[in-house]
Amino acid sequence: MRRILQQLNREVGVKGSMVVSPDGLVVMAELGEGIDQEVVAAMASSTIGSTKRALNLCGHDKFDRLILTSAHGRIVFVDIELAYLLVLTDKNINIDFTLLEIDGAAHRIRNTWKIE
Amino acid sequence: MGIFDTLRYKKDLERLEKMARETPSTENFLSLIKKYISLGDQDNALRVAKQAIDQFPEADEVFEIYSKLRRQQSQDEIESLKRNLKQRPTPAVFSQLAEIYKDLREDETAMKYCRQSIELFPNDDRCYCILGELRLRRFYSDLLAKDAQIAITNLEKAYEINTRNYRSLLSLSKFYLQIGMVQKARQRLKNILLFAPEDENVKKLLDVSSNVPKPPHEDMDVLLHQIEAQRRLHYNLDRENVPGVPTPVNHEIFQEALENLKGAEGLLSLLVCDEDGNLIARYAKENIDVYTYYEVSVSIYQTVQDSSRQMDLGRFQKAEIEGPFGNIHIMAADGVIYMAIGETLVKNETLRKYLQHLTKTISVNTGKIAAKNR
Repeated sequence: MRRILQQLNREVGVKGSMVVSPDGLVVMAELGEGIDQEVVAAMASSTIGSTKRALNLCGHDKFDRLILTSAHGRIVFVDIELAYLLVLTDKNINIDFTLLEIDGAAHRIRNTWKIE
Repeated sequence: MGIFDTLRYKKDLERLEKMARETPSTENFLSLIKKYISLGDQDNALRVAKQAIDQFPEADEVFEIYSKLRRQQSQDEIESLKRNLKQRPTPAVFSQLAEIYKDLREDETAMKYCRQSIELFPNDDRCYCILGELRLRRFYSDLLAKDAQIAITNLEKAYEINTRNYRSLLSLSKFYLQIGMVQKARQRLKNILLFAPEDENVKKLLDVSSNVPKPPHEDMDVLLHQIEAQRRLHYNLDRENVPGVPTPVNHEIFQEALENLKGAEGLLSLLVCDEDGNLIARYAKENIDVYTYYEVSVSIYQTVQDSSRQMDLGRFQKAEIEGPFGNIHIMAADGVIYMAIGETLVKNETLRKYLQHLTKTISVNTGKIAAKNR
């Protein structure tokens, strides 16, 4: 899994990635310099939890992907069944290209878990 | 090149220089820069581009050409500085590198060098100053209190280390003036006069400070939170200070724009809210419970806005969520939140187009009404 994250981090504009459980437990993290793992995990847990609670209002309890874009960066969350793959990227990249790589990484992590 | 060609080029250049000087606009600056580039005069092209970017910091085209020229010019310098850093790191080398990246608007790389320098040389003022200026630039663009607080901590630290740090003091003075802390601004300006008594810039700012309307209190946190909420500086040094009148929300404009998208394929609902989540206008397909979608979307908007702040990413711009429920797109523009909910099979690209169409229609209609009122 670490190799998958390291490979993903080599993509243009990717600043770091992490596999985190919905309650904020870090399964694996490859974050760039100056990014605080605990802050990211806490944010991930509250974002995933609150979004799921909001979706509950319309009778759903999960989301497949969430892309958050702000003035100085992006965060992508992808559901990988037992946990979420979280990727931090620069804002000024072609997100569609990066999403292909992120989906690929998510798929490989899911497969790794299935094999294990 | 013959003598006539040389004369013609010279005349052309003089004409373009005059135009840029007398009627400065992005177009005039760009023509002049391009002329210098076509003549192979990179130094002058960069000089003019620097003037242009100072006057039009928000113009993307100007920044693009400036950054290209600056990058070309500084490539060798960057390489040499990086080599120096490996052999013998000094605060000067760190700050020069940070300065170049700050200029290229690669803020994160600039911040990285600042942080490294501060870790190794905590008593050198230069990188605190650059770090402060970087944060201040973010504050002036996003008007978020957190950016200002970090900027001030760093700039004040630079001043604490070096009481003659002109750049820090000037940035601090301008900042305090613009948020309404007039006394504090005057104090910092006077700090400069202690070592630069003839500074014209400072004298001018002292004059300006007497015209700045004084708020009832000078509590920085309160003032910053007001600025963040109103998305407007207390006093803007760069623009004409027309007393700020918040643009009234015209519900009809929004509702009218929504009507245009009625029946759009795959679209379940469109909602327009203010930043506090109050509903301004809505559209929903038949049999769709618009209020449930409203609650879901607003709740997600509040979540992602918090996440953005928690991660220090600046102002929230947009969020796209997809799942078995379909797609939800949320977009913030000029203090208004637009939300589109699409069916499971609708493509993200289609929802993006709907939102773009919606914001474009609103901006055109708002423009028409403004023109009519004039």
